[in-house]
Amino acid sequence: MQAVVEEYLARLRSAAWVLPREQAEELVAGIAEHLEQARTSGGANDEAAIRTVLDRLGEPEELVAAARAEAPPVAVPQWGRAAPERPRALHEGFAVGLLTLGSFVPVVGWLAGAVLLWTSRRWTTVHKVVGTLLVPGGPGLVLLLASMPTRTCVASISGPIVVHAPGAGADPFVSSPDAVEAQTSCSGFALSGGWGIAVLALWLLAPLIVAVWLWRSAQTAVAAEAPVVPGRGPGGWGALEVAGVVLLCVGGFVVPVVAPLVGLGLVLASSSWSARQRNIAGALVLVPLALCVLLVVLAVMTMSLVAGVELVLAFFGVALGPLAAGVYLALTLGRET
Amino acid sequence: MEPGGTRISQLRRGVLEFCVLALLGDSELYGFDLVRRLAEVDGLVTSEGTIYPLLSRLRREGWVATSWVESEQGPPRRYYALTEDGRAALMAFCAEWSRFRDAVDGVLSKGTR
Repeated sequence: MQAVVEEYLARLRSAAWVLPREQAEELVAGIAEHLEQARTSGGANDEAAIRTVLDRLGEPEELVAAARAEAPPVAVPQWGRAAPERPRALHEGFAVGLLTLGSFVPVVGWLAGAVLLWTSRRWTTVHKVVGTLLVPGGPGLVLLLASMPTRTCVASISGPIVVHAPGAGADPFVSSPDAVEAQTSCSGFALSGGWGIAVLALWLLAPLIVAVWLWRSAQTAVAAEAPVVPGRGPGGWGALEVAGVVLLCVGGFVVPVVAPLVGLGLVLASSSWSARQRNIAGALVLVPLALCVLLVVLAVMTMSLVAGVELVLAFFGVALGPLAAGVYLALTLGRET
Repeated sequence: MEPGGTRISQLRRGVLEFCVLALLGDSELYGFDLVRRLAEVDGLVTSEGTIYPLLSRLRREGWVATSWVESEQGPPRRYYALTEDGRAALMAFCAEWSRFRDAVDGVLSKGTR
């Protein structure tokens, strides 16, 4: 008996392919619920009764035709979602995430967040200025600076110093058996314990409070926007888009600089993203890249060795800026954010 | 039945939504109960299944609100209710319908005399 119902629902599902997905699902769900109710409270307990119920429902094709007649005028069945839906603040969510968590990725992460902050259409200039000034570099930079010593104290001992060299693989060591005087001189500046912690907490809290404020402002702005029909560009997810996004996301780790630039080129050539989205992706890729180039040039000009820190920064800029761009594009394809 | 249907079915289509609104105006109903009541009225509904797309459209238009009710025997069921806008639309239709029905009755009875 259940097989009869399943067969009917299967026919209904396949006939409903011409409907927008949301409507098709709603129709099938409603009919399925109707049949379930017919069985439990409607007393349709044997096959004959079920078949009667199905007859009275009508042929699946009739139901789909009725749904089409009731549907808002949509000329062509659209892939994926065609019903209007609430716009989501994806762009702003990304920005807030990068400004806070992304700031733990040196320089690049916070910069990417700043790019998205300034290119948002839902935040006013006041929002953007506050978001930039509190705190530049984000919590990540604050913690990094806090871990660096700013005050060094040197203890000096006057008196003979004996150097012991035990040999046989042991390390030499120094002792000063006749130390006369021990002096400590400190240079630099550090806040005393309590104050230092208070200031640190403030500098860490400020970006988080600002992040929450920005997020809520974005949500308020989004709630006031009209529902948007997410249109897919003529391309949607084609080979061009997939290749571009993949190259942006992982290419920087494999073939630095070149792969992300190729990925960016593919993305710019695609028609699946709006000009604005493409500009944002370009900024996310090119700004960190430019900074890295600047760093390298400076290092060369000052003839200083490129230290580990600078190498790390350069790597991140070359790989993670494009990664952020790739993820942003993947999430916002075909949608106005 | 061919796409256009007979004239009577066209008329039926026009007024069916207001019959649905009227039934919901008395009380909130599950889809199954609503369909059953409509089916009890002779000549009102041919394919019961077409009520569901109609309900979807009424919901999109804001005349009907739906809520989900938990059920012991399986998935939650949809409960349909009339909204304020729906009630206003129903009352407007009722006024027009009375005038229309009387007018048509009057002309038809004169015509068949």
